[in-house]
Amino acid sequence: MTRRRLRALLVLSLPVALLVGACSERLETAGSCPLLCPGQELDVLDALIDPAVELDTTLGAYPFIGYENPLLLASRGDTLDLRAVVRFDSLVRNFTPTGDTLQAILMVDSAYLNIQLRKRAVALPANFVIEAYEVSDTTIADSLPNLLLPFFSPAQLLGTLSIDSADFVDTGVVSIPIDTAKLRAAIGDPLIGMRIGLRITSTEPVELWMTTSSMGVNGPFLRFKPSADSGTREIVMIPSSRTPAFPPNLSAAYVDYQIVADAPDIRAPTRFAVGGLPGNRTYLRFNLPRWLTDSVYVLRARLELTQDPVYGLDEADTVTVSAHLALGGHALTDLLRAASIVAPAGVFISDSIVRTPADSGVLSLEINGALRQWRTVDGTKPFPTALVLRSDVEGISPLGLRFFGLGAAPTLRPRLRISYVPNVTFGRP
Amino acid sequence: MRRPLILLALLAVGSSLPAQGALSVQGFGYPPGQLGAGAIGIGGSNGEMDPASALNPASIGMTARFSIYAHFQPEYRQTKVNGASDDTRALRFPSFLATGGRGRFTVGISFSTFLDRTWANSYADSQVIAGETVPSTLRASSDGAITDTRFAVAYVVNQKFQVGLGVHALTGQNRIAFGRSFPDSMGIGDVTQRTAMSYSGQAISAGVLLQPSSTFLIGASARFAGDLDVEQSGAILAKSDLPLRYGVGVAYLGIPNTTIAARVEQIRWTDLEPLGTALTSVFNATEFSLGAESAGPAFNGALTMLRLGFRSRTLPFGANGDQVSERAFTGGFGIPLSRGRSQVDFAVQRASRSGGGASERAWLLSLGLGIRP
Repeated sequence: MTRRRLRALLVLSLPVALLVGACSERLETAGSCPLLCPGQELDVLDALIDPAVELDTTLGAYPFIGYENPLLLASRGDTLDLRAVVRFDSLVRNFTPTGDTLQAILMVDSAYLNIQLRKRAVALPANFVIEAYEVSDTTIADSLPNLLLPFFSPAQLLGTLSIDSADFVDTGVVSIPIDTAKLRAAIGDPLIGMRIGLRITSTEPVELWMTTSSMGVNGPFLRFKPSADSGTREIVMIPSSRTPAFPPNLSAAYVDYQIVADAPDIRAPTRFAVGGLPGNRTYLRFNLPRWLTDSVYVLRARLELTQDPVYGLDEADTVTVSAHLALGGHALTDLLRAASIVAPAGVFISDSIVRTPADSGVLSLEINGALRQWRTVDGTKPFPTALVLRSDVEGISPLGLRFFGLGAAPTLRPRLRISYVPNVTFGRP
Repeated sequence: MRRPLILLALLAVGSSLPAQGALSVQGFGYPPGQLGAGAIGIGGSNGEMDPASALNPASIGMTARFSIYAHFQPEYRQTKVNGASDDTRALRFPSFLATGGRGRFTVGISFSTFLDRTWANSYADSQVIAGETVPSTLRASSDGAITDTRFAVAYVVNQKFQVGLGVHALTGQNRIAFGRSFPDSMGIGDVTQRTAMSYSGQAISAGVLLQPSSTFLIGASARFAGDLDVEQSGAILAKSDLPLRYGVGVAYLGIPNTTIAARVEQIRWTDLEPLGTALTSVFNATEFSLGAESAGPAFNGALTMLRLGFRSRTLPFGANGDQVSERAFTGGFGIPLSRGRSQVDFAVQRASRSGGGASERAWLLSLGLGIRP
């Protein structure tokens, strides 16, 4: 290489290095602020909106029949009585003996209903009994399960299982003997099935959760032997339901469900309730000024509620209430349905209320995420300005909270405390 | 229906945003100086005579042929405040010019950065919300500049005297974002606001080039009679006069293949005061520059030019109320290519800025490419 070319190469390498080295910007600073970054203070304004709510209503029962999971079997004196129903609308009516051909089932032997039970926080008594009743009347409306309560009578008894709590294994499966004659009769009549009502009793308070069929392998099932032959294999039947016929697919939810025979009602006038049994939800519709949803940036929006204590069952136990953004369209006027079409917990609103039923006083729930979703888009709000409050043990625990509503004294009703940033004109140095 | 009782004071709120995070980009931004890369190499001292600098409209008469010139300028800067420092890198295309002439007339159009307001910052601090002080991270940024588009005509009166006239349109936009975020555990919503400020203005400029003797060349120009509007969301936010600028430069040509030049320039930036807020401190700026250019080694049969210079000026927008000063030592070279049909200019500035309790040091590299087909 000649000296001239070498020199030229060196000279030209400078601009090339310049171009390569300056191919991207890196502008962000931190250490020189705030001295060199004046004027970046945020003007946060506060506002109290009272009343913030234009409608509060307690709705129930939730979850809808058949969607309870798990089922609660409880007997606590004259305060709480919860039962369950498991349907076997499709029964196996034929079997194939060993070395023989398919034939009708003419005898039933060793029939049991297997269910999985889980402990609750309530201590188990020394002994308790699980009773199984035949509740197979198909003329009763599916949506009115409490009409089945008269069937929990000695005449309908299918079997009982007495359990010594010392022998009880948590999450273990217990086998309740079933009257073989009654099961044989049901199998012999192709028009009927076997619907079994379950009740727990004890001389002391008792509560247990029962795994539902929606949980798969640990759900209830019926088993029996169709022959006295020791070599004959057991027949196992899983729950099924043929009703209701309409709407389609709903029958699948009815394979097992809960009956609330007796439970304290936590609802009260001028108050709204969340939780309890049957499970309550609260639908809160807000009346917010448009500037709040459309013209400012909400940093903090605290819904202040005044709790009204509920004394009674497990009043010192903690219950968590979450707020859900109502997603049902504006055309949906059935609030019972609207309160079930909600955003999942933690989406838009991450805050929750954690209190005991016996607590009282003012609490706050951060809902700024909801206000941001209530911004007007193309002249309409995508979602109704409503929240649904629900308990984390909805339908499976008697625990519930109660709050003063719109009809209460002004100092007690819900209000919204807002911290927001105006949509300011900024940018001038 | 009961109407909500809203306990608040709805205030007509306005907020400023001087922001920045660097000394050089306070206020409406940093003025690169509207110089070409060759002129920067000698400290800007020949800016009044340099046809690649968008200052003196008479200077384009020195390039009678059609020519274009583009200038790229990255800046590497370190800002120090109270022992803390920030290293940043900014890219600019400060100027582009095209000229062409016929007979005694030369016309040209140029696009040059008038004020570059590009910055970003992010830092942790706290914010009082409903009486509670909560930790917060602040993010702010600005992107954009005001560009001076000049249409110029130069007329060669005789071999010793040229005049020029320029018509300027100043346009541009600053896209600004400002927001705060809070720890997730606080449950406080983040806020980000964005806006754009648009600028429009016009002015005229005039200049002369005079060669009273074979050893001296004098250039002088002024930009005046202009105004500048700031618009936001379709409404005029503020109006001001465009800063009056005037400058004069002298070049000594008595040494063969060598030019020694000096220039002084004054810009009345305080004309922009109505555009800012009470937080904006605006100062008139004076620039002095001195430099020399001399023929260097031959490159492909043509002489290269080696340049050295010094530039001292004040910046228009203060920090914490103080005026910011800038001093820069410059150097560079120019390489003619293609038998003089094109030219590559490379320049480097080592700039020091101080004011408002902060200091800043920067390397500004300039790459200029001129083509005369």
